[in-house]
Amino acid sequence: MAEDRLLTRQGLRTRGQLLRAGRKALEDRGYNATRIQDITDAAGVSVGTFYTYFDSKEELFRNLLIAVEDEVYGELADRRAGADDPAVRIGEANRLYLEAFRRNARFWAAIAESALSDEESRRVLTERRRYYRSRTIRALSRWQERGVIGTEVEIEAAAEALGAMTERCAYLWFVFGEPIELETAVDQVTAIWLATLGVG
Amino acid sequence: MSEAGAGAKGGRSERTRAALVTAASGIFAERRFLDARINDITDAAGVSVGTFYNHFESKETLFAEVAAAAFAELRGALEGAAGQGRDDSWQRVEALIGAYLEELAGKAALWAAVEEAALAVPELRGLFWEGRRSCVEAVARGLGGRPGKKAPAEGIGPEAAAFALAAMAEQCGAQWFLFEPTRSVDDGVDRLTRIWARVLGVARG
Repeated sequence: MAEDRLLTRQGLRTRGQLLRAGRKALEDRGYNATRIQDITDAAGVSVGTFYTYFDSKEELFRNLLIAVEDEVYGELADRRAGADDPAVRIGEANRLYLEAFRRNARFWAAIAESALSDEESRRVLTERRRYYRSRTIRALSRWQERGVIGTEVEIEAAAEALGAMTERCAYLWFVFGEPIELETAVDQVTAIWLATLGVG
Repeated sequence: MSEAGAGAKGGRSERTRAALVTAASGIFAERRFLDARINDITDAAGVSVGTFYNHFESKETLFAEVAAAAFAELRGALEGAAGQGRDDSWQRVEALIGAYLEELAGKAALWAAVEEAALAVPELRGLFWEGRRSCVEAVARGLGGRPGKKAPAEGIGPEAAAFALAAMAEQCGAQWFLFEPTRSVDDGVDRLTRIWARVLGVARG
């Protein structure tokens, strides 16, 4: 596997070029229509060189996918000083998520396309969704233990449904491009979170 | 040609058209939009490619009709659910979610094809929006949402709430019935009904 190989500085540079060119090609052409040659042409390397670094288009895609997912979901871990109020924290987290999603909207279209047609990509997405959901559950459970969220709220079901709602809204607004102001988007998504959790 | 002859021909023509639409639903669900060939569809419908072009201009035109029919069925199911119970009753909320999730689960592969086509073929995107919008409006009406009516939850109007709740149902539907089939429709309906009811402030009756 290419990953196991120790790359020289030149090698790292070439791999970086391939990733950047790959991202651009996937954004421009979509997941299914992108060919390895589109990527190598843009990176100015041969198809043979591509295979030095990646086994397939799918493998390059998964590398990009994980980086973008980390950026979008990783924002949720961001702690803002002095914001322990759940309503404020949830609003902040939603803003960061939606901003990151909007920033990466063109690549997210390729992600969505891949999830509909590629088993492996679907597996990666499902696994990461599960991981980030478990983080939401932890945060919500802490609030529930402190009595901020009522005991009648089913934390796991809420985390799953609210995560799904937020992801789908972001996708509809920013990938499909139904125009909406970021502030409005944050307010609407947050209103559903707060009403579900009974806080705010 | 006699009147009767024209009538018979018209009837046969409609049947052929319907057969193409039915065959196309199956082929699109199985192979998605980009990989489906007109040949596959005509074979499944038992007609010639020439006959196909008597009825449809292109694969896109036929796909648009298949997708519009799927959205119309979803809207119809939601409108049916909107007839059950009072505006703000648990029964109504449960019926709406049930209608949504049953349609999503029953045609999971076709919905995936519609979604993929909307992503990959820009000309088909408008159709997706129109179809979805009509369904979200049916949800909003079912929840008693009219402009100016009190907001279901603080800081969000009835239409925006319906948009977000429909998004929740769609994404959960994809996760439960398509990506990682884990949940039964009944289980999904129970879970989402409890969440929607909290958002809408509806108590269990």
